[in-house]
Amino acid sequence: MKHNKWFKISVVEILIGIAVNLLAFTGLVKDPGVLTGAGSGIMAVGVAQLLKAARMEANPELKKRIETASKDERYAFISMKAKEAAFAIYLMIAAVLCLAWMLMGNREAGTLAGMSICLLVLLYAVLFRILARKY
Amino acid sequence: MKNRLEEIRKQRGIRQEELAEAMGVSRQTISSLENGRYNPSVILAIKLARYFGMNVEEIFLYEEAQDEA
Repeated sequence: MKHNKWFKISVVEILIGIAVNLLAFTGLVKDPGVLTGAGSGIMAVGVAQLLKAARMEANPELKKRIETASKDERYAFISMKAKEAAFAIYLMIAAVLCLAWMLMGNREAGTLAGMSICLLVLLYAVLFRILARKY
Repeated sequence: MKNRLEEIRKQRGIRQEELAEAMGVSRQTISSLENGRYNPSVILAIKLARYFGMNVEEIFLYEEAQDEA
């Protein structure tokens, strides 16, 4: 089997997942549950990508279709639109949750939701300035 | 933006799959272009025009009143 780029990336992801899981079992961390979850998640993504890479190697037609799709300008446009919508929807949901939590007296959660809004808006402003210089 | 892509493609007896492969895009992109659901980038518009040996304006018909998002 010829090892393509996705095959190599997925192997690296699986190895990172295993390393994170091993770290959780060493007892060095107080809350290993978070590490186990993250490690398993990374491993799952790696395995899924490995299966995809294997299918691509076995089926050149599928490989060609996936490669075309990854370069397709309409897919890139749709992806950008989806991210734009997800960003706007997240801000609205976080704002509603922030207000609801504050009114219910859960100040900690409300502050977190409010801070996530501030962070996203700040990131947007910074990235806008950087990209405005580039384009 | 309206276009004559489907008409020109059919005149030349080219299938959507063939055109998509020549342009390096998916067949769905050609279909969306033909239905007017998606407007191409300048690069794709020029590639299509060159492929058919025509000017961009002969394929894509822009009217001042139809500025869209």
